[in-house]
Amino acid sequence: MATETPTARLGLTARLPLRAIVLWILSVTIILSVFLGTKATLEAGTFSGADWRNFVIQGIAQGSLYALIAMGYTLVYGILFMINFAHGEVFMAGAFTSFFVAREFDQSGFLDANPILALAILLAVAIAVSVLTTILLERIAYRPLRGAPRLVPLITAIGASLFLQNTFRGLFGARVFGYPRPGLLDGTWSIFGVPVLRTQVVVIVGALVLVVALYLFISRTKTGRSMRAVGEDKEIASLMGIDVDRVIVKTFMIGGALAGAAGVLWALTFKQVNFFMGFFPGIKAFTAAVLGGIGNVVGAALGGLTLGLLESLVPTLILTGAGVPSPNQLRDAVAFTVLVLVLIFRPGGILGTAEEEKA
Amino acid sequence: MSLLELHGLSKHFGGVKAVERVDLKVDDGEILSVIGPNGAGKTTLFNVVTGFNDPTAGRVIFDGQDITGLKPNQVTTVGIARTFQAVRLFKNMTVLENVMVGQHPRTKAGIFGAIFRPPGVKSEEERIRDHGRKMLEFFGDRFPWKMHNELAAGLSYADRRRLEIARGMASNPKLLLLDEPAAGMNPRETEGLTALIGRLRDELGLTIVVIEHDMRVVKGVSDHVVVLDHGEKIAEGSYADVAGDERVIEAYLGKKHEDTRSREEADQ
Amino acid sequence: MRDGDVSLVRRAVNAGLIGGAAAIYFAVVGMIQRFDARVVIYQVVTLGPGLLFVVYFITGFLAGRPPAVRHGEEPPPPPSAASTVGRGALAGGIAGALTAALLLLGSAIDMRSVLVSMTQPLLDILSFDQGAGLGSLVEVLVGGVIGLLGAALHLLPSAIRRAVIVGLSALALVSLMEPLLGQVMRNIFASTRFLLFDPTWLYRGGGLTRVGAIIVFVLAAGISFFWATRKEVIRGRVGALPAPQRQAGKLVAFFLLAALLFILPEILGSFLSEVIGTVGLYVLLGLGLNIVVGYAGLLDLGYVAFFAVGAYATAILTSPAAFTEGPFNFWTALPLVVLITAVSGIAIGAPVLRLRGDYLAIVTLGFGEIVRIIAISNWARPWTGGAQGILRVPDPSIGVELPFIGGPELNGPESLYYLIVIACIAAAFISVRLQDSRVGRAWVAMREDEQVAEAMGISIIKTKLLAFVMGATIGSFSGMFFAVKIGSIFPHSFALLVSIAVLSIVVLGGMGSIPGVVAGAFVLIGLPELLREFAEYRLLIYGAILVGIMLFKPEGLIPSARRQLELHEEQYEEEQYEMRRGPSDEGAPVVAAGGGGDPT
Repeated sequence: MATETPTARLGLTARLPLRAIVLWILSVTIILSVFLGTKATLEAGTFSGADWRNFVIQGIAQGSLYALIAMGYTLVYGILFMINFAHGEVFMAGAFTSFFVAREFDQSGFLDANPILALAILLAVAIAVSVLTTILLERIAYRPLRGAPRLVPLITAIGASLFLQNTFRGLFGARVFGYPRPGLLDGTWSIFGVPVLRTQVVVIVGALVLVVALYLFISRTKTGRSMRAVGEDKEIASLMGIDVDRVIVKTFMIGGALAGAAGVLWALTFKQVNFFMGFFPGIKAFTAAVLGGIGNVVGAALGGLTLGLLESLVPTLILTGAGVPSPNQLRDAVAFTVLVLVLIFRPGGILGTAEEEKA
Repeated sequence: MSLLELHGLSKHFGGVKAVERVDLKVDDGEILSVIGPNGAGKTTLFNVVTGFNDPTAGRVIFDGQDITGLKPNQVTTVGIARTFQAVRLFKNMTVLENVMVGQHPRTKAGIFGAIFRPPGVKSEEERIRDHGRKMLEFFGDRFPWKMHNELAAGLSYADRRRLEIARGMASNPKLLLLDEPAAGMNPRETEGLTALIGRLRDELGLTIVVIEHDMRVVKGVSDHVVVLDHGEKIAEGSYADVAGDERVIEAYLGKKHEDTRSREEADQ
Repeated sequence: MRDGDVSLVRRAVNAGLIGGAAAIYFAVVGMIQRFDARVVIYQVVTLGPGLLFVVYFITGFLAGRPPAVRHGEEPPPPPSAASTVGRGALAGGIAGALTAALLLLGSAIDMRSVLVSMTQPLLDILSFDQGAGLGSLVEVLVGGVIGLLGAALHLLPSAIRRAVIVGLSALALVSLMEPLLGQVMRNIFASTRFLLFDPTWLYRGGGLTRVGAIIVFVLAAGISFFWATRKEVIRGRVGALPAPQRQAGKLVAFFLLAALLFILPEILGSFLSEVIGTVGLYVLLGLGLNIVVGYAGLLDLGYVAFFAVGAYATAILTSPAAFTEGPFNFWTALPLVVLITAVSGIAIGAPVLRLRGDYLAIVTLGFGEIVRIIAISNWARPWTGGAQGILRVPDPSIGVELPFIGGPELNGPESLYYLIVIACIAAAFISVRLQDSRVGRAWVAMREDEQVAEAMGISIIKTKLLAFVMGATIGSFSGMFFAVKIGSIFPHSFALLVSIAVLSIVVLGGMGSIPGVVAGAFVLIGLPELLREFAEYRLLIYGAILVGIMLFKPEGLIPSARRQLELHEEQYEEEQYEMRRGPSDEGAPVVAAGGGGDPT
């Protein structure tokens, strides 16, 4: 039974870096289109300087909202290495529930009489509901599956997302509800002579405050250190006396709280809520988290801002010039395209490494 | 010309020099052992040869062909098979299926063959099965017929190691790389393994490179021994040459040498 | 009370709380009210209160379970009958009390501006039309009694217990299947006038008649009991039959099944044939995704993209309303569509090959959405028709008129049914063949351990792409049939939810399991089509199923039978192998010195 197989000779194509070639072609195409589109738009002068300014501010505001939601994704991923697909619904739960309180305030006049107090209460309600939702999620759907192969928690998360969406649909109805806005937040403020929508100011400032607070929390406090430790190595962390379960729950809670806050800010900005409102923002926030480097809190913030700006500028700057009719229809596609491109070319994100994780 | 030649092979992970300028030659029909303390870079060496890592420098020549930097499946197709330090079987496949998968590079049925099953494909499937059973029979009565359809997950530890070797044999390689095949075996099993490795060369004509810590195996099978420490080759020769080499003893911090010596004395 | 008793009581209380939470959930989400429209037993019970009864029953059943025996410990003395039913009553009563609390709350405060389901009809159901006060007491009582009954099941010997459960399940099933079975019976009765098929003895008012309910229960329970006690005898008798007779038996069964499939549209009538057609489309999609997810282990959340490509390609090539004025008809377009789909499979698969499982899922989701957004946009309108879609997709033509099947144009649900069924059978056949092949083994190996699979000489790129292309092709066939079935296509039909629905089917049935996919499609697609009340909660149920299956039975309801090899098949193989090898010493077992007889 001697092995008689002659050594296989390798063909010429054995070493062809096919993947690299295709990716090269793809990058060149993208860069070229971006360049040409931008050039065409600027030459055509379709938009004025003020328009561009508005687009940028709009992008930053939108991006701030994404950043807040993205935190939740990145915190959970950094500690459990799972994508909490249902996080968008956590965001929705807070926003939607706060609507009923807001409606009461509006009808009784409290909202306009005492806007700051009213908003504080709305935030509290939204945060409470979001936190509760995410705790239930962790306890019922995720904790039992901690050791399972990665696809299992993902499928569970997808199921949980569907379940939550439709539960709220059953509870509150399928309508789109108009979210009231206090008169204080209507209109614009003049910041350095530039008129900015008041809601945009609140969103940007609010997000900034929360992001900085979170960053300090993670890097300075004991809980924050525990969270990082558990993210590094669960077993060793528990051997060092850290209660891993509690840390995980706290992580979910923080992410949930930020999502709840984002929910109110979103509702105030867009003046509406409905059971489906969490789905796209959820995916986009996830894109932002990946863009910035999943697991990295600063990355999530950066990613959110970048995504917001891209969403605002790509249809206007590039696609208009490229001759695409109704470019704003493709706005959602921008986020998905960014998602796909980032995961193909640089899964580690802006702040991550270029090496991808192998299985 | 040797079957396998490593020229100045290096692999660095960032600042860590896992393998550093290793030159190696393995002749056809030879059994070479690679030894060295933990972390010496032995498994990394295997990984570079079999394409799991790209070398930082140097070349790998197999049977006259430069196979440096090829992908693992290409390396296997060319005629090199390997086992892993921690047994990595396909746990949810049966014993026989594991060995059938091993024949992938030597067979060619594709999608259309799978769907329409022309006579060529049918006979190929039969041959795959037969060859698989033959590979299992090489291990004596370890893998009786009724075991062939049992899940690999249910095997004993020693049987799992044997199955991994059988799976490696299935692709009719010219070169077989065994990574610590005796790890976790008791003395009787180790004896059996030593004899098995010899039979693989004598009866199947395989050239074998073994990474081992158990010096009884190394002594029992090796034509040639290479010692690595911190990624560098520090000695080579016959077992006797290497066992007495000062630098080798030092690398093992002296203690291990006494251990192996006393174990040898105990065996006699 | 002893320790064991305390923990049993606690368990009962927990069960009651969970049951109560479930009942409250069903109420506030609107299911109880919505399901009330469905009659279970005519003039006896509808599905509204019926749902509550089921909750109480299961609560009682779970509460009444004897304590689990742990390894190595002494089995504790079995609880007394009184303890068992007492616990059931307790749990059921607690659940009922929680429901009653909701009832009282809803009666006291009008919550409809927030919780839209807290309507008066709901409260009437919860209170059994007795008003809030008395109704609450009745609720607690009902909960307790039914919980007691549920627990009482544990007192029965296991064969009888199983018979009762089977009987009740059959009751529920036959009742819910009224839209299907009732229609079938009406059709058969109309043409044959065979009294057995007169539906009025079984169904009335959309549900079972009292007599019918009793008959179904007794029959099902009886068969279950009979089977449980006589199973071995029957199996033995069948096994003892000589092989040719068994073969003949299998052949007869096969032909009966084929005949049934063939005349099914006649029996079902137009509407039901259309439903089966839709189910068939999803069976195809499920079988395709099964190859990608079940065999190769690649979670493709953008699978709807292949469905869309198939549909759009067919529409664009064959419809006069699209931008091609081409001479294509369905059959000439088919190979082109397959080609386009294969290319799209490679285009979508290639970039994502190196990605890890969950990232792969998200990227494919992204692809799916990008495809949909572009298809619906004004930008692509010249080709895809934008939001208006493409109309006037012509029906395929088979040139002649055939009995049963119809023709020459295959329009109408009955005719298209045949096309779809043939495709499903072909897809199932392909799946079976692929499983037990070199490619199938490569997929399993890759799923188990990608690195080691590569070390076995398996090209990961090729193997993954093969899975994508196969899945894409089968999915695109479903798209083709979809286009001609509806006669026009709109981008709204290609939402992410389709991918998730198909995923739910595969997960529920069992990843890698062909009968599982078929069953899953019938349950998850067929049921909502038949039962309009369920249709509203379709997605909710999908979500619950995904979570539930992953938590409790990740291998699905009908796990794939990869490993089930019959004993005599193996013995037969051994003889064949011996004959092929011939008498020789070569390969005869060599006992290595010191290696033989090792007990480990």
